[in-house]
Order: sequence, then C-alpha cells, then structure tokens
Amino acid sequence: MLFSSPRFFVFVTVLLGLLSLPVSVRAKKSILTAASCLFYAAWDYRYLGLLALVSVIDYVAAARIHTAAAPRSRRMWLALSVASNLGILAYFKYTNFFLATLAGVIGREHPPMLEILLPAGISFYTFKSMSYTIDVFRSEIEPCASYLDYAMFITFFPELIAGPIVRASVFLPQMDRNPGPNRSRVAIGLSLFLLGLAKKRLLADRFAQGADPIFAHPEWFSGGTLAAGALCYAMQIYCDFSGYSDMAIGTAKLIGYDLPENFSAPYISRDITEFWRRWHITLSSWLRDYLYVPLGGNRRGALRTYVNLAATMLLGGLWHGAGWNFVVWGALHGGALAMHRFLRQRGSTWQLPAPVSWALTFVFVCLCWIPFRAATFSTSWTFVTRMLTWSDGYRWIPENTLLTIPVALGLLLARRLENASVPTPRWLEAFDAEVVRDPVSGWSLRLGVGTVLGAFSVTMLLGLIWYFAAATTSPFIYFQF
Amino acid sequence: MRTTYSVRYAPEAGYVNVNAPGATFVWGREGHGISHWEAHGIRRGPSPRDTAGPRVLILGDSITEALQVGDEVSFVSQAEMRLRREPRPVVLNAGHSTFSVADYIFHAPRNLETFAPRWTVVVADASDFTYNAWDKTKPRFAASPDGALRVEYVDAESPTERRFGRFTPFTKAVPYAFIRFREFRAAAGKEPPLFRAGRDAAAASSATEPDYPIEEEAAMLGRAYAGRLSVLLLPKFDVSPPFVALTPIEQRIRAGLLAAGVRVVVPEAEFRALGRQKKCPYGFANLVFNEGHLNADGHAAVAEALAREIDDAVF
Repeated sequence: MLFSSPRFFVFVTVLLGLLSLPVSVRAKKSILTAASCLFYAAWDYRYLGLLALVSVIDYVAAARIHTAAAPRSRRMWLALSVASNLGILAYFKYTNFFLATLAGVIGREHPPMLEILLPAGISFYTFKSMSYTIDVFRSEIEPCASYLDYAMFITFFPELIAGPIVRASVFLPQMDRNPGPNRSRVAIGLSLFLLGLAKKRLLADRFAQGADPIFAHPEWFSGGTLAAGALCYAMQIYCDFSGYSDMAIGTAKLIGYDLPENFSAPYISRDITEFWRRWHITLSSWLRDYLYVPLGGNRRGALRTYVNLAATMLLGGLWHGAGWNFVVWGALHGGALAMHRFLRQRGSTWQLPAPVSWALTFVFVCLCWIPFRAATFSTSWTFVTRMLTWSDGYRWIPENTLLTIPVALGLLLARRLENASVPTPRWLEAFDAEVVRDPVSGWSLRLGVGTVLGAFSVTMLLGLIWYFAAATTSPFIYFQF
Repeated sequence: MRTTYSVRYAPEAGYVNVNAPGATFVWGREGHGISHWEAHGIRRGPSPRDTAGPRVLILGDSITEALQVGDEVSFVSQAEMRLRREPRPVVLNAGHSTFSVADYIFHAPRNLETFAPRWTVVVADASDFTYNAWDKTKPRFAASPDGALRVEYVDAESPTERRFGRFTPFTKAVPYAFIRFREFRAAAGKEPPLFRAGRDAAAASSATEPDYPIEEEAAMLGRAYAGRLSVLLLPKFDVSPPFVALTPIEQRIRAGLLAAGVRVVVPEAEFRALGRQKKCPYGFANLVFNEGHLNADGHAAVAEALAREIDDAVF
C-alpha cells in the first residue's frame, strides 16, 4: 500500500473517521495500533509476527533494564536487546550476502542461497527499537508505561516502512495526546502530505523515467547521456525520499503526532559534512549517537576519529543494502568525511569560493549515487568509466532532466527561508499559505484549509498533481531497505 | 508538456472521431508535434503539391498518424517529397490511432470510393495482425459460424467521450480529466492484491499466444484493396547489432502477405543504418527510450523505404 496509491487515501480517510469517534484515548491508541498492523499486513502478513517479536523483546528488556539494580544485569538485558535486533537484521538482510561473499573467497561458483524475503521496513524498525532500549539504559528516557504504548510506537504506520527513524525520546512524550484530526492538524498535515505527493508524483516518478533505462544498460549510452542519467537519479532519490518523508510527517500530523525532520535542502550543501547534516537526518544522527560516539567519536585522537568516521559510513552504507555497491557508496562518503575533517583541521588555506565548493560537493554526491543505484558493481564500473571517458553511444538526454530547474528553485527558496527573519514570502500569503517552523518536524508549508483562498490553493495543488502526474508510479526507493 | 485535446471532430461513418478540416492538434505527451488536418481525417501534406497526380493512400495507426512530430517531419510527407518519378503522386496520410488490419478491411469500400487511390500502402507492425486486430473493444476479426473469417464493427466511443466531446473546443480540462481517471484506474488495477504473502507471483502468464489466422487475414486484406496494395511492415529495433531481426511472427506475416499477392517492404536497411549511427527509430526524450512511436530519425528512415516502394509499385 504505497502512500501515493488510491488505496492509501481510503485507508487514511477511514482511520481518521474512526479516530474522530468519541471514545477514550486508550481506545484510539488501540485503533491506531490495529490500523498500523493492517497497513503492515497489506505488505506481508506473515512478518507481523516478527514485528511483534521485536517489540516484545525490547519492551521486556527495557523494563528489566529500568528495574534492575545491578549494572551487570542492566548490561545483560541491553546486550540481549541489541543482539536480538542485530541478529534478526543480519539473518533477514545479510545472510545471502555473506554466503555469496564467502563462496567468492573460497572460490565456489554457485553458493547455497537461502529463500529469504526481506521484511518491509526491518532496517528502520530494528534501529528504532534498539534506540529505545539504549536510551532507557542511558537513563535518557523512562520505559513505556504499557505494552500498548510501545506497540503503537513500533508499529506507527506513517514511518514504519521507510522512516524517518523516530527515536523513543521524540515519540513517547507525545503518548498523552488525544489522537485524531482537528482543524490545525488537518491544515498542516494535508499541506505536507500534498507537497510530498507532488514531489513524488510530479518529480520523482518523472526523473525515474529518465534514470531507469540509462542505469539498466549503461553500456548502450553516450557519456553525456550517462551524466544526464546520474543527474536524474540524484534528483529522483531526493524527491522520492524527501517526498516520502513529507508524506509520512504529514500523515502523522493529521493523526496528531510529530515526526522529526528528515531532509533540509541537502543539495545546497557546500561540503560533505554539511550534506550529512541535511540528508536523511534521522539516520545520520542515529549513526552518530549510537555508533560513532560509542566507537569513540573524536575523543581518541585524529587517526581514530578518521577511522571511526569511515567505519560509521561503511556500516551506514551496508545498512542500506546487502551489496558491495552499498559498501563502496558508504566507503566513498566515509573517506570524503574523513578527508574534509582532515583539511578543515589543517587550517583555512582550502577556503574555496561558495559556488565552487557547492559544485564540488554536488558532483561528488552525484558520482556516489552511481554505485548506490546500479544493480551490480560491474554495472557501476561500466557507468562511471563510460561517463568519465565521454564514450560514444546512443544519445538520449531525457527531457525530464529539465525538471532539475524547479527542484533547484525550491532548494534556493529553502535556503532563503532558512536565513529569513520573516520566513513567509508575500507571494505565498496570496495563496493563504504560510511557512511554519515546527520544533520537531522543521520547516513546512501550511495551506489554509478552512478559508476559500486556502481551499482554492489545495484544489489547485491537487489539480496539478492530477493533471501532470505520471500515470504509473514507482515504489518508493527506500522501501527496499 | 503542451497537449491539447481541443480538436474539432467531424462525424464519419464507422470512425470514432476524425479530425475536422482545419483542425490543429498540439501534442506534447510524447514528442512535440503540431498537426493540421484536412477533409476526411487526412493529415496535411507538404506544400505546394501537384494535386493532379495519382493518389497513393497510406493507412496506418498512430505511428502513421504521427501526432508526435510536425507535418513536414511525418514519414508520409517526407516520402512524398522524395518521390522521383513523374507525374508525382499525391500521398494521402489517413493514419488513425488504434486502427488495425481489421479496420483497414472494414473501411476499404469507403477508402476506395472517397480517395480513389491508384495504390494503397498499409503501415503495420506485428500487433496489427495479431492481438490488436482481435481486440473486442473495437472493429475486429471474428470467426463466422461457418468458420470463415469476417470483420465485426464495434463503436469504441465511450459514453463519456460522446457526452463531453462536443464541449472540447471550449473546455479542454473535462475530457482530459476523464482520460487521467482512466489512466489512474488502470494503474491502480495493476497494484498487487492486499494481504499477500511471499514473493509476487511471476507476471508471466501460462496462457499460450493464440494462433492467429494470419494467412487468412493477409488474403482478406489483399482482396479488400483488389491487390493494389503494399504493406510496410515495421520491425522492432534492437540497440545492439544487427539491430533488426524479424521475429517468427513477423516472418509469418511477410510470408502470408507475399502468398496473398501483397507487396511487402521492411525498412531493415534503413534501421540498420540508424543503428550504426547510434540512433533509435523509436522513442522520444520526453517519454521512453526505444519504445513507443517513431521519432524524427525513425520517420526519415521509414520515409526512405516508403518512397522507394511508391516509386516501384505505382509505376
């Protein structure tokens, strides 16, 4: 059930109707949890059991960590929680990858492969669940008062499949809220959802039409076409994932909950460190707090800091998928982060003009997307070598590459809003729209749904999507992780 | 992105819609083309032209209609410009979206009476002899009770199109909204079922391809135009050498047509020349690579083959 499919609209409409009933908060939480399970079951009902297993283990482990007096006992329960989460993740996601790698090392041509179907959202909900027990262990949060609360947190459908990775410390304090729609929640939630839908259907799906055939057969195309394909994919993954995040945050707001900001105009970054502060923020901050810092962070000398950065990004790459292309992607980013840190610490002699540093960062990020998107490592190699040597081949520059222009304008507007003291431009007010800053979800647009002008704006946006969306939609890229 | 559906349609017996004389069609969903239309749904040809020359009627589907390119770029126009023999024939482009061999047979009496062509060329691909010609939503082949092949007429115009068609000069949005609705509904229909478990079932159907009576279809087509007919068979294009290789069904169509006394031309040499230049005959930068309709390179290649065939066949 994709967020952009007609089925999802029916699902959310019915759910909002149920949450508007005059029943207790506990009953509404039960409805919400059941709806989340239904949402997950629409993908594959057998893995609901796995989700339940993860939630029970971590709920019990966190409770025991909280009540245990002895540090040894607390550590043991934490170890059980982390080991079970990583074990489940490793089995479902990495078993065949390790078998194939091992077979390669020992020279076996046909390794034994297991028939394992990757459960949807496993990378996201295991990380989310682990952060809960770790935060309880660190005494940063109290454990959930009831299993219903924890089950609702783990299964919360807007972010269950592809994030944002919501930490317990962000979500659990909202448990006292009375879920259900009201005028202000609908205004902000619907606006965000529509913006996300527009990003997905008007931009990401169009960029995909350009990128997909080029990445499928890079050996056919000229260097210029390959460069256009790489640009299309860079735009597609941004519009796809940030559009998904907007829809997830918007849906959560419709129901009455705040999810954290996941993107902050990443392609305007002027260095790779800034890029990772703006791209997939909930993952990068998770890796920082639960991997980089425990590894020692920058507290154990320069060399160890570089190693920690590289290791964190390498594992971050592997988190995305079980393949060497993701390892390469992570290694490239880890290396770049270490290099940037090294140059920054050497002094200010490397201060480049802003447009140059922006262009260098953007081109590097686009190059890194090639192994991320290509099906195999050899496809990546063919793509990169043919593009960099400007090889001859079929010249097919997708016209949708031009959609980069509205994306760039949007990013420039985002940059302007970041620095503006009065954030809402006057032309937006003409549509009864305003830019609002939420402490959890970041900047977002709010269309006035209760006024004639606002209703007109919403209708216009829906009309735009209706008229210009590609008829077929591709699954969200991050659903595969 | 410019696309308008605000053409004026003229009623023609047996046709869903025929673009009215003087109508202009702006198309931007695939390629970018502006087309102009004359009487009886004939697309405007090159000008000036000597209208006293013998007429050659070109029949075909949307590939021949060629909304994706301008009037002068369509292969019918280009072919007319390339004719060498005198008196230069007037080449009439009667291409119409969705048509198949069944339509050309059904409309043969009307075509021969209205246009009185000296020669007719049908532009077709394998689908026009197979599933397109047997599609139950439009004019199609069917078996008579005695087993003989016949053509059944079906009015394919939907009630919505009939209701809103007359408003199209004034309101472009309404009919387009319905078209979008149909597209979205079709896309939604392709979504996997709810509450499934395990991997998606393989899309491949176990049903075997029906055995179409291609030889009978070819003979019927030849008879409908009294043998004064060529078929320009459009093959698939492969981006790797040798670029064009007729599939078994295409080979069967060619053999069936030749056996029925119908001339057959396949632009194999022209497509191979394109392949060597790293150009595809099909697909546009605003839609899909090497799929869909002929692009400008493809039209030029097909025009070369069509002009050669007209020069050979008409004189």
